[in-house]
Amino acid sequence: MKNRRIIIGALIALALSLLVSISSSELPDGLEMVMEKLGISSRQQEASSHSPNFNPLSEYRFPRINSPIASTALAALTGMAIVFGVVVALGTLLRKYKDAEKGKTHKHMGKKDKNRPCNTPI
Amino acid sequence: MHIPDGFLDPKTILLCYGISVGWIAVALKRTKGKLGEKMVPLMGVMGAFIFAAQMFNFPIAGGTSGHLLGSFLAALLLGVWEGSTVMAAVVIIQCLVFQDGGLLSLGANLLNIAILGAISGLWIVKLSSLTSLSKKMFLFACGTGAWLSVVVPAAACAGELGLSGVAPWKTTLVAMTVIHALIGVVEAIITILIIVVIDKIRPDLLRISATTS
Repeated sequence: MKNRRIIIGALIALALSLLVSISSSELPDGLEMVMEKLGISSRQQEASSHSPNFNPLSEYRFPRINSPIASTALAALTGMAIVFGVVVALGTLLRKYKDAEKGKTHKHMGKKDKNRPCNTPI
Repeated sequence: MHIPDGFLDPKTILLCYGISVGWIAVALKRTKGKLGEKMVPLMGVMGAFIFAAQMFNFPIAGGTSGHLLGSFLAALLLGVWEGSTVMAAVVIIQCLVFQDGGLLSLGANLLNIAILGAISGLWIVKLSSLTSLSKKMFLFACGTGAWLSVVVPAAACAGELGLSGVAPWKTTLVAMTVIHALIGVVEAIITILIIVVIDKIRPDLLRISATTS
């Protein structure tokens, strides 16, 4: 039953990534359009030329894949996997505190409050 | 509507980071130990879905595109604190991994999308659920909430650009609000469709939000 759910989830993720990569519009979004109209969109290029590009999948493209559809689809799948992983990890961590408060696990006792700011995902 | 780097001044950057970090700290404190067993995978699926949905740009008008924000949907299904936590994770990953939205403007993007997006529309649904509404009225309230959850962050975005002094705030505010009023209509329609589908296949998810948030 659980396996079936995982397979269905993975299939939906695959379908979403293909939908996004095949038919997403390349037009500027609302903010980009407003910035162009105001004549301030060049600020973005200036700022990004100063800062090093450390983002592995910038512009939602998977590197070294020539086909734009495959590249975007892979980026979408990777992004979904990262978001799912991070949120589930964070949620599991947040749930663990429940046990700590009940005194079931003593691992977190005492340093609970000190730990809290470290969970801020920034 | 992710603000890239190069548009906000230090005062706005600090202000937005301050509000966002404070909000997320409170959200984590409020959700700590209160998450049900089913909530964690639901939050993960919700985050992954919203990430994909935000990648999907639809053409709207005058050579402009828009994408689903999903903040209202997350807040409705998960609750305000859980919803904005999931949205914050999405926005942070978009910034760090995909270079969507600048690192310095991350605070502002969190404030707009993860916080204002989550709270600006939900109160209508909360208010309307006090009276026993028909399903049609509930869906209408959801649509209105979804529309607000796009327009309010867009206006905030204009306010942040105006506060930074990069553009006259009146012109920016009008332009941002008008275009996102259109994008918000699409957000409202898609959100209503998603809620109708969820109501058909997993009505328990809608009940979770009614009791826990």
